[in-house]
Amino acid sequence: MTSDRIDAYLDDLLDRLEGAPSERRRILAEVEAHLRDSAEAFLHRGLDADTAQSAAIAAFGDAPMFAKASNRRRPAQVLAACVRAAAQLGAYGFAAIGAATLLARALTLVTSTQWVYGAPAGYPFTAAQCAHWLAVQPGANTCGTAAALESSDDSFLLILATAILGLMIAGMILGGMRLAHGRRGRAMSRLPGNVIAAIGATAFLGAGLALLAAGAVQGRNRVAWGHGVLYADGAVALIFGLVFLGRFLLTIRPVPLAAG
Amino acid sequence: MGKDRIKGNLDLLLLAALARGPKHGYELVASIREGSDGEFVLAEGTVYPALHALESRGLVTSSWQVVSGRRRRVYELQSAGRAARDQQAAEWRRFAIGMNRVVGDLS
Repeated sequence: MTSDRIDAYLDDLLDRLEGAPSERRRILAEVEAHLRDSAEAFLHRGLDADTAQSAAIAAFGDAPMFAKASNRRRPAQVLAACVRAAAQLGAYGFAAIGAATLLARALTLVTSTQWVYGAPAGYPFTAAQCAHWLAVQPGANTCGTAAALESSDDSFLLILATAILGLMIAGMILGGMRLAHGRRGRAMSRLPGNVIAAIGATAFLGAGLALLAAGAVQGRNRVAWGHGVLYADGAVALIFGLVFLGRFLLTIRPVPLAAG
Repeated sequence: MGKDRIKGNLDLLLLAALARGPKHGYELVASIREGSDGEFVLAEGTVYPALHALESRGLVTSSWQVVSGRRRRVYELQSAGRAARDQQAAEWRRFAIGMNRVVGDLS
């Protein structure tokens, strides 16, 4: 059983190393070559195989210390990885905003513009507001309908434009980072996929539940405009959150508890 | 010699050892130990994170090679690494001269 100690050391180390698979595979291969060279040298000095492996491991240093040093990243790398993750999550966020805007618009076809975008019941419209909204929405025959149509047009265009602009900015950040790293010929730093999935699941599920709750409260109390929009936003956020949650559950793997 | 003192100068030791030719990690440790007449005994695992950091700074490059029948990552000094070695060596010499003067005055 001459390879047991080095194999056990490498198993322990693999469990502790962080980073991309290629990076961990490379470190593991380097460490194995080193330990086998070192054990061979101790063997030539007269130690038995098992003691030679123990001596090689002792000279190398323990796995937790080595992994801690290997996992350490320069602040610039950590910052780049965080910016990249924020841009990725931002892109998903703006995509969700765009999708929710389209869903809200579609909801008006099966419910009503008033339910999705309208003012709460008994809203005190001023004469000037009514005159303005009826003038810009000539198809409306009441002040409330005109206000709902105007709110629908304004929020649809404004939010859709914001979503597109946000997606473009996030795309430019990600593209710029990829270009900069490509020029330097180095691999781009990134946060582990399950960390991004966990953040995405938490943020989108939290936002989804909060928006649905706000929609329900406003639907009952009728204190604010457009409670149908809140339901649409909440539903889309929940869908994005569930996708992130699924990705998170697929990428995590339970590890055995250390003995003793 | 104290491990902290070696650790503080590990980059220079690695760059200087690589200036004598490409080497893999185990060879580097042996080269530093033998070059210092056994004075610098490193915790061998410490050289790899240091080598990877030097590589990410563009001072050394590495590639897989089969050496003595085993696949090993061999490191090679780049021109930027040579310049860094020269600069760090000059700083070390100034420091050593200063230390010697002060220590010499005490004796």
